[in-house]
Amino acid sequence: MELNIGADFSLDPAGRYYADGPASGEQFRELVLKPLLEKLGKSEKLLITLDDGVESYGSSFISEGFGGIVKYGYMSSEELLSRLEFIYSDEDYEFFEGRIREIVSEAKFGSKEYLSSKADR
Amino acid sequence: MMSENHEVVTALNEIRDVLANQSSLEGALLVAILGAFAGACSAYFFSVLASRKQRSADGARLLIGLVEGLEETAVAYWLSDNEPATNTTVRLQEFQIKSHLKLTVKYVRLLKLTKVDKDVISHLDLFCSRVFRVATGGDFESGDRKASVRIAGQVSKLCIEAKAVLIEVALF
Repeated sequence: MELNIGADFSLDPAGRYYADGPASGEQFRELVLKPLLEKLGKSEKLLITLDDGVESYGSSFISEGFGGIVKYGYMSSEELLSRLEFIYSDEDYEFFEGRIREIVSEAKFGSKEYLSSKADR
Repeated sequence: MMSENHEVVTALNEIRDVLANQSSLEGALLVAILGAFAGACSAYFFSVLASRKQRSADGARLLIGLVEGLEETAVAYWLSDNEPATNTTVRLQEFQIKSHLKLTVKYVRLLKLTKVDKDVISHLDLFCSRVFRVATGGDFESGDRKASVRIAGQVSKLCIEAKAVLIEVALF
């Protein structure tokens, strides 16, 4: 299964919570990444294109979008990392792949209960 | 018969002398060529080494400028709240921080090609990773963001450490 962040989500992914803008990490996680992960077959991987129009990422977006999958107990960091593969034609995006892997590895499984920020912000 | 033998001996001696002279001439020529070749090789290797050092120094100078730009923007960003009145400035700062970071990552990758010291590269790689996490983490790009002297201080400290490493590359 494939996900092109620029084409399928936003060319300007930014912010952490819904209230931070139309392409936040929370929105990416809840409406795009989590549903795709749930649809994956047993040994299937999700191929994520990081560049292709997306200029850059912030740590707050990555932390909420990818790290949140582990933090809210949807999937362990080991399983998430084994299910993700990153694609980019621009070598500089290797840096963002590295940060995503780092942030996911450090996230503590189920350390926080998810309450949508739509309600409390 | 005696006279013929004498003539042969004389001719052979002359040939030997000529050959001996010729061989010393060729030897000298060979030594001269080898010397010139060695000189050209050492000049070439020296120029390659010097140009690599020059490229590293030039790259380090460019990186210092980028790190300074990143520090200036990120510190200003984290020293003020996100107020609706300053929203345009804040959005601009967010773009600039992300652009500076991306350019810094690119220049560090290019600096690796100049064969700069491995310790310098690992320090710069770590700097990119840390400053990215600090400067664009927390409430970065959030409408509710409050000023954080702690984050501004951390960004500044990381940038100063990176600049110290880069100054060494630029000067020595």
